Amino acid sequence: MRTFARAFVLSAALGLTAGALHAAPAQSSAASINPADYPALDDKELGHIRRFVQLSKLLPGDWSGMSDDLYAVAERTQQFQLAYMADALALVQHQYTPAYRELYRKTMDALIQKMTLPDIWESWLKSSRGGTAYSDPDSPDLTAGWLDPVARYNAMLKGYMLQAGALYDMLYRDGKYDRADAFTFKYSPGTWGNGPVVFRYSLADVARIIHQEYVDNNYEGVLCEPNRIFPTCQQPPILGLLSFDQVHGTHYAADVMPKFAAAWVRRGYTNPVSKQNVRFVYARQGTFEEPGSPVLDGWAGAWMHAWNPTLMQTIYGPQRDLYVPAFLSGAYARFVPDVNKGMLSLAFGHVAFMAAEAGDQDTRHKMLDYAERNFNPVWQDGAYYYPRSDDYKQDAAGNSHGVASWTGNVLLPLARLDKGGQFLTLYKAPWTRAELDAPQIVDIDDLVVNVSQAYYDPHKRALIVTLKPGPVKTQNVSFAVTGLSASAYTVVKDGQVQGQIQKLHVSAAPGIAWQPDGKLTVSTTLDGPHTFVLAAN
Amino acid sequence: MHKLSAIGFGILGVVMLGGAFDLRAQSAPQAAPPAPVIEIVECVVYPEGEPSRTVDCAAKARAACNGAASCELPIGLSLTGGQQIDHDAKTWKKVRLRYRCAKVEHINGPHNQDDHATMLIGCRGVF
Repeated sequence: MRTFARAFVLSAALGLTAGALHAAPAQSSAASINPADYPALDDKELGHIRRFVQLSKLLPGDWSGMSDDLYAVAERTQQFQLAYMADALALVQHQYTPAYRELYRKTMDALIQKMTLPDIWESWLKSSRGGTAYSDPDSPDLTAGWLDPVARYNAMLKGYMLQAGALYDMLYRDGKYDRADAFTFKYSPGTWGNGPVVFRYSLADVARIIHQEYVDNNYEGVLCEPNRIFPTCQQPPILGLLSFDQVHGTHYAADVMPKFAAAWVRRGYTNPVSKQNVRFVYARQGTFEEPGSPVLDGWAGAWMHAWNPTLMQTIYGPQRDLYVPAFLSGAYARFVPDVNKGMLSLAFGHVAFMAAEAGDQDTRHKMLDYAERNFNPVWQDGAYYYPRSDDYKQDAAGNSHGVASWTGNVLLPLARLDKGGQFLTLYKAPWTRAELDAPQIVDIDDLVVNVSQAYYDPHKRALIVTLKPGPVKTQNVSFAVTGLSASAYTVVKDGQVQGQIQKLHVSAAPGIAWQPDGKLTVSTTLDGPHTFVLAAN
Repeated sequence: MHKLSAIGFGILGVVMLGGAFDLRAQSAPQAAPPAPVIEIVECVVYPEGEPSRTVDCAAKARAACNGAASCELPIGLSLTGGQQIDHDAKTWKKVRLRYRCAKVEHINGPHNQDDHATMLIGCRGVF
């Protein structure tokens, strides 16, 4: 306090009395800012984010906590978990804590880069070979297939890479994904194959290829695998093109969205009676596999709502009525065959996420409550998630307790984080220069601090920050603020005005200092949550 | 048991011999033989399913890789003057390379001709 007083005295001595004269109304204005009016992450939401961070830090080849007994999904579920976690972080970054970026940026990047590991992409060599049973009934046999996971088809990987990479690009604009080697796939097994080879793609390459595949296919969809168009796997690439257009000024999504939406209706991708989507289309034959399923409908619906809410409004209700009561009563658990029980959990997770994005709060709450009661969530080193369980047998009440990793790590967290149309908002309101240049907090030790609020209000020119203790306990923490452009700020901590800080005063107030590099540093105890408001005078 | 002992002693002997060799090498250093370098023997591009219809790309491969201990060779259209050898961008073309490291011949490919792909070749083993 003494230092702060000295700063005031110094200001007066330097003739900065104007600031002092305005101090009272400025302080009053700052004190009137109510942090509760701004977005905040609750403890479970913070726990989900910490789970994403922990999984992003696993060493290459270590997929602990991310495996699933779902071998019918040829590419396994890790690539989707990675992409969905990156997308979830983008949502939180955009709408909950836009003024705290360093953790989200490095975690999103780490998750996206994991999608280029051989464990993830090499399954494409098998999927690219097609075959008679599930790919092309008119083909005589498997084909030779090919390695390059981006060159043709494989929207199941490249569509998700495009979506997550383009979100990263929109939020951080650091040029990382503009590089020619943004996505680098190394093939180097020493025991089989035709020798080492490397494939490199930029985000722009992936966007261009996916757009061309829509054009080549008469806008009826990109091929997820040879000869197969799933309505489900069309949504991430379209959203990826949308973000890419917003940053790069291209018109890929503007071209694809109306034509694909028209093709959806023309080709009848939604059954007019049940409102379920077809499972997939054999591209060459033009025939469908029906009926849809909660896995595929939920998977498609959550993302489709983010770019085509009009269609979703017509099909979400009937799909919910068909699926959700069966989940909650146990009827669906009895329906799924034992050999594929993991689908039960995927279905639950996808439909919960779809309900959340569709803004159906009643269903969202029911499904999250059900998950809390039946899916055995845990806290582990500050992370909150639903661990994988293969206990799919029903209990006396008809409930199954099985959890797929995809569902427990990220689908249910998405249902909690998305409180209705938040991906729709994300894709409608890409960050502009104003958001990119707004003040943000940096230099935070994320092991000891949870940042539950970090929001800059441009109208009130105020930064609202709430810190909570993280999993590693400490007495004191500090953070820095960049991008502060006003000459003076009023600082409020936990509702109490601490005083004013004048730019360039090295020691501005107790625990607050301007650094030579222009950052403002703030130190505080962390015995519990503390909220700061920095409001420009 | 006898057999196991014999194997055990055999392994020990090899380890000891190896150790002695290492000591000698440390006490009396000798000039290491020159590391082998890449010598391109053959580079061909051909349409999938027509391996006899080859276009020679050895000159480009040699310019990029000859004399190097390891090399990353782009295997896109630059190998064929920017042209599809069958004038059809929708069909796969294959690239196959043969090269020597000293007296040992290696092969890499066939791989699809691909502007986003590079072939890794070198005179150091994987293991």
